[in-house]
Amino acid sequence: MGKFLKNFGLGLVYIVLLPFLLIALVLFAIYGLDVCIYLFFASTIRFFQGKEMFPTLPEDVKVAEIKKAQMDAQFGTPAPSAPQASAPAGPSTVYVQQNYYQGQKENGASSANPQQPAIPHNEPIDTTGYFKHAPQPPVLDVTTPKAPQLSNEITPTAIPQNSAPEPTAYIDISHDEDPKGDK
Amino acid sequence: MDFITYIEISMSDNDRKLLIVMLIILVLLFILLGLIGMLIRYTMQQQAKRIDYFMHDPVVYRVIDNPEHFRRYGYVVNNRLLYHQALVPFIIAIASLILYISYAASTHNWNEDYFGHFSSLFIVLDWGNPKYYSDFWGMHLLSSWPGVYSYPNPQAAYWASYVLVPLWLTSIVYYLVVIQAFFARLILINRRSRTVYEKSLEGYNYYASMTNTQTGYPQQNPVNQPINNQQQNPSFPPNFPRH
Repeated sequence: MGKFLKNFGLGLVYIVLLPFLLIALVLFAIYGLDVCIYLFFASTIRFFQGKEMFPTLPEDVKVAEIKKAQMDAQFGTPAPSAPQASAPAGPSTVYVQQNYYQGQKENGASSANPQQPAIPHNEPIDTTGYFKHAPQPPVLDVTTPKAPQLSNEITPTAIPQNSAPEPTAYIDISHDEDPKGDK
Repeated sequence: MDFITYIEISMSDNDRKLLIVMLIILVLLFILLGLIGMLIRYTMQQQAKRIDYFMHDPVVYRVIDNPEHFRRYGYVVNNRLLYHQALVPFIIAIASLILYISYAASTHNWNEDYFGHFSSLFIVLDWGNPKYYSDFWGMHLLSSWPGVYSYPNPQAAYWASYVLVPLWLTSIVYYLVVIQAFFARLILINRRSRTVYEKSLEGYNYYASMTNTQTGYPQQNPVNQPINNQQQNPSFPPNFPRH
C-alpha cells in the first residue's frame, strides 16, 4: 500500500513538474546543439591544422605522468630524465679481444669505433678533449642488479661436467725468444 | 445546520458512473506517470555514472583539488561526451535531410504530408468524432473509447514517408536521450563537486580533543595537541617552549 501511495504521489509531482522538465529539456537540447556545432568546427579546424581533433587536457597529462612515475618506481626502471646505461641482470661472460699487433690506419682512425670522430695529429691533448669529441659523457651504472630468487623447491642434481671448449685460436708464445735471456 | 443538505449535489446515475470511471482512470494515470518517472530517474542515474569513469583518476591522483576545478574539468569532459554521443543522431538527421531534399526536388513537391502518409501504416482512431464525448460539470470529456477511423493501408507511392519519418523520429528521440544523459551527468558533476571535497565536523567535539588537568578541567595546551607533539609529529621542534 505504501509503494502504491508513493507511486501515486510521484505521479502527481511529475504531472506538476512536467512542463518545467520539458522546458529544461528543450533548453538543454538547444544548448547541446550549440556545443556540438562549436566542437565540430573547432575540431575540424584543428584537424586541418595537423593537430589532434580534441587536445589532451592538462589534467590527463598530469595523471599520465604520475602513473608512469609510479610504474617506474614500482618496477625499478630508470626515469626518462636520468638516462643510465642498462646492465645485464644476471652473470655474463665478457670476451676481451687483445690485439697486440693492430696496424695503424692511414688516416689515423680506429676501425673498432668508426663513429668516433678522429683526433687530428699534431694537436695538443686537452684534458677535456674526450668530452669535446665524444657525443655524450660516459655514464656509470651504479644500480645494483637484482639477485636471482632462490627457491627451496629446486632439488639439486648432479652438475654435468662439460669439458672446456677448445679455443678456436690462440697465441703460442712457447717458442718466443727472450732477448734478455739470450744475452 | 445539516452540512449535507446545505451543499446539495445533484448527480444523475450516469454522472455517478462517469465520475467513478474518471477517478479510476486518474489514479491509474498517476501511478503510471509515477512509474515512468521512476524509470526515467533510474535511467538518468545509470547514465550519470559514466562521468565518474572520467573524473576518477584526476581526483584520486590529486590533480584536481578543489570544487571549482572539478566542475571546470567535468564540464569540458561532459561537452566532449555529448559531442561524441550526438554524432549518431546527427548523422541520421543529415542523411534523412539529404534524402528529403533529393526526393522533394525530384518530385517538385515540397509540401507533402509525410506524417499523414506514414499513418497509413497503422490503425487510426476517430478522436475527432463528438459522439464519443460527453459534458460533465461544464467540461467536454472523452466518455468512451473512439472507433476506428481507418485501417492500415500501405501504399507504394508513400515510400519516401515510410523511410523519412522513422529516420526523423529516431534522430529526435536519440538526441533527446543523449541530452537527458548530458543533463544527468551535469547534475552529478555539481553534486560530486560538493561531496568530494566536503569537510565535515560531524562527530567532532572541540573539547573532547583537549586534555584534562588533574582536577578534571579541560586545558588547551598546544604541546599536548597531536600536531605539536614531538613524539607524534617528528618535524615538531623538541625544544618548543611549554606553557
